[in-house]
Amino acid sequence: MAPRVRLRFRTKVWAALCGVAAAALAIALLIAQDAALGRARAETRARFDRTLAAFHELQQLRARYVSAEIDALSRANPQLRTVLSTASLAGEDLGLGGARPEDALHDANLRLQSALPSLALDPKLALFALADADGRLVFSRADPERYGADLRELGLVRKVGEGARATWIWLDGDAQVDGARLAPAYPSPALYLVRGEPVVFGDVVHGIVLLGEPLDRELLESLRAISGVDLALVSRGRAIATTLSTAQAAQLGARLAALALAEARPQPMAELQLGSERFLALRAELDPGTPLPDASFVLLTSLAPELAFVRDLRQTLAAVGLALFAVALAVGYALARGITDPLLALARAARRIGGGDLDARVEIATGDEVESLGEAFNEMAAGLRERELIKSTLERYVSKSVAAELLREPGRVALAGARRELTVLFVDLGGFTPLAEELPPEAVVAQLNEYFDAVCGAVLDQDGTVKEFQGDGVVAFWGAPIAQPDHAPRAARAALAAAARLDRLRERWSARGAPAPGYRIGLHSAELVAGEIGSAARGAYGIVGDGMNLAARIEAANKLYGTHVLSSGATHALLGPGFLCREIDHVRVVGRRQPVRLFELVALAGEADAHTQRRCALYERALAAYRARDFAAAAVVLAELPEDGPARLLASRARELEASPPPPEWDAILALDSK
Amino acid sequence: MRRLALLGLVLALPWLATARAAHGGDATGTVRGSVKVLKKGFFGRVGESDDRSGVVVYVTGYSEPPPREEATLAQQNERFVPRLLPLVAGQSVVFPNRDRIYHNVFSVSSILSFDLGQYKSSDPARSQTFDKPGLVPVYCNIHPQMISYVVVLENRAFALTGADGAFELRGVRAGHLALNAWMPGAQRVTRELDLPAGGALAVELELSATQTIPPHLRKDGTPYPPPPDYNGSE
Repeated sequence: MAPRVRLRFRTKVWAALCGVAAAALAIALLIAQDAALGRARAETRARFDRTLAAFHELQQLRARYVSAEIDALSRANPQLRTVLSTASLAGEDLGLGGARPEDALHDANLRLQSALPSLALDPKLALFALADADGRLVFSRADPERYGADLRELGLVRKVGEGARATWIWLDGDAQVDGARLAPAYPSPALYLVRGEPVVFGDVVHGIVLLGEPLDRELLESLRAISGVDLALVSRGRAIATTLSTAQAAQLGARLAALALAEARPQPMAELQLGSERFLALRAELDPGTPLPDASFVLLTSLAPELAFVRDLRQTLAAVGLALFAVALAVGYALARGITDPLLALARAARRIGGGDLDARVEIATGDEVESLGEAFNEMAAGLRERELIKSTLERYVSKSVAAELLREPGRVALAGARRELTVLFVDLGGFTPLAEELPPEAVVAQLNEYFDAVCGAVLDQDGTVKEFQGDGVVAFWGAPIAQPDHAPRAARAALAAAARLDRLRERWSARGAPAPGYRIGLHSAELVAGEIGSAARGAYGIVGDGMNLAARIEAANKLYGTHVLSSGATHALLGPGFLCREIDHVRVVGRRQPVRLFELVALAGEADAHTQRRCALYERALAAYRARDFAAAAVVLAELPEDGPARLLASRARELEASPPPPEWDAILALDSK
Repeated sequence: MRRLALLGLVLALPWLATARAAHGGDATGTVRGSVKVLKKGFFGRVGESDDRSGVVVYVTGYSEPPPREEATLAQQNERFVPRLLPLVAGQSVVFPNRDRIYHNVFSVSSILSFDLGQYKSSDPARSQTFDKPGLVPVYCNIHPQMISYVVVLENRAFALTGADGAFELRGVRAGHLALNAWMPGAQRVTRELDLPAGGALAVELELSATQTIPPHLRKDGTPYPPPPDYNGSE
């Protein structure tokens, strides 16, 4: 047999409680962690959005500011405007000869160089370049003496050349166009926000003004002061300007691939490890229009506070978890004990009952269902004990079928005294007592037991009730405690069966040399009171009535007649067919005025042989003659039955009466004076 | 892209030839015709403009002395009137101020650089002689929108088109010469002609004013892609 893991209930309860506690804590941790990080993400997203909005707002403000600067330069200052226009128109070939366009550009460049010191230009606007209407460089602040470079390489210049105003962002590497430097050379590349505007007369472009400022750390720092978000401007795989530390900025460049600009709107955030710090990062376009392919904006927020919170939470929950395990242990122990202790007690009691100890009881006071179970168990044990007691008692006196019926339908049992017609059977061994005095007690007991077995078996076979043993006598009855309408035939059959059994028993006794006393059986049917008789403490189911005495007399009458089974006329009247009987006599017993007819119960009808039938017929003929005072005839008939006990007695009585005839009032009733 | 198409039909009629012979020695002819102006519409579609005025049509290839009279370029309603002033080299232009306020006239062109200073309408109108052929843009240093294109020509064979775009040049010296048309914002169109003495030519010209910056190819000869680094406009 495979080994089976047997876990104690207590262990199971612990395991279940600890499991539930652990699961609850784990779920709580997950939810709290998720909520904390989710909140951090949501807050960060909102801050990012605000920062981006602020950045774009700032960008537009700067663009407007730069635009205003350009207006101031090109409109209020006649020099700039007219020099540009003239330079542009110098390129017009009207087929009239005149100055070369290069000379015109040179002249314009010189004029602008002269005018520059008086131009009220914000020094922040490091990128200041002018082109003619054909996109040729006229003047660049970063490279003042250069002119004529073809600025149409720049999309911005082409756009502005069509008359549009445009804002542009470029890396200063791009700002060197056709050999001309548009922005000052920085030690590292810088991103520029550049505004381009045309100089227009009527609807004709007469020149282009480019004005721009670098998007530098200073700008980002001012943004961070507002939003609290770290910022980086990235281009070509490196951070151009950032509020991060130099080391973090270098790492950011290496991790930009993880922050690719996605098609999704809004851009998804990503987590980024820079040094020992963890960041939530978002890469965004510099402007929500067409993206520059390699320049973008990275917003970062350190997750350090949120991660610290989660760490604290984990520690707290771990402590709570340990406490909960301890509590689970204690509660589990208590709970398990509340169940297992009563269960063990029940098991012990059940085993005791199984072992036959019906007095086993359990004491459970848990106040719950288990206590109910204990009470039910006790009731069950008490019930078992009661029934077992009743059954075992009953079965000794009544047949199993009657006992079962009694137990099954207690309603049919009228234990209280009630008058009812019963048939009573008395059995006795004749002359056993003097015999017993000569035998060892053990042999007597053994023989008595055999005798009782035989009688009681016959009684119980016919569902009779053994009332009591009186010495070597047995009293049994039918018709109580359950009603039996056929009580008389049952009793008669039992009497015949008992007689047969006793006959065989006597043969066995004789065969083994034991004394073989005769037996007597009397039957009588009468109205008797059957019921519990006795005190409340000790009582017995008994039968009381005059009929009992009569039954005993009838049994005793066997001695006189030498018969084995005698019944009263009352019983005989109830027998119905099926029995061979013969009337024996009409007697008056001591203490009873009412005479009683006596019948011998000979055999079951059909079982008697011809000889027996003849014997009965002859005897009844003789009895009839006797009662008709024809004593002589009776004697003649009786002479044919020399072996028959009643016949011999009747014959002797006939001879006596023949010798001295009775008075005329003779009623043929024999007074039985002996017991 | 600017497309230049000359749709002119040149006819030399035999009776004109005999007429010139009959006049004897008068070696001039007439060129007439009209100019179509292609402009970009509101939605960017290129189409013929209804307004064909303001195109100067002129002949190059010979010089003539200027006329005696001065040309007038007025300052009126904060505009230069006319906006386009063709004249013959050596001719003087008087700049009357017809506004209540001050104006200025100056140019920084390499053809002619001058500055007539600021004056009001009650001041005597100032004038300037334009000796050298070429385009001389004239500005007012007070009002940024004021500009006039003074086109200094070699001879008197020029005309400004009206709204119908028609022009007629009389007294054009016969021979091999070039007929030009120009207006601000457009590139000059030129057509070489052989004008017989006493003859007349009809010429149809088409002027494109569709793009400010002329078409331009990259250094390797390929066109520019649409601006990828373009980042917003207004």
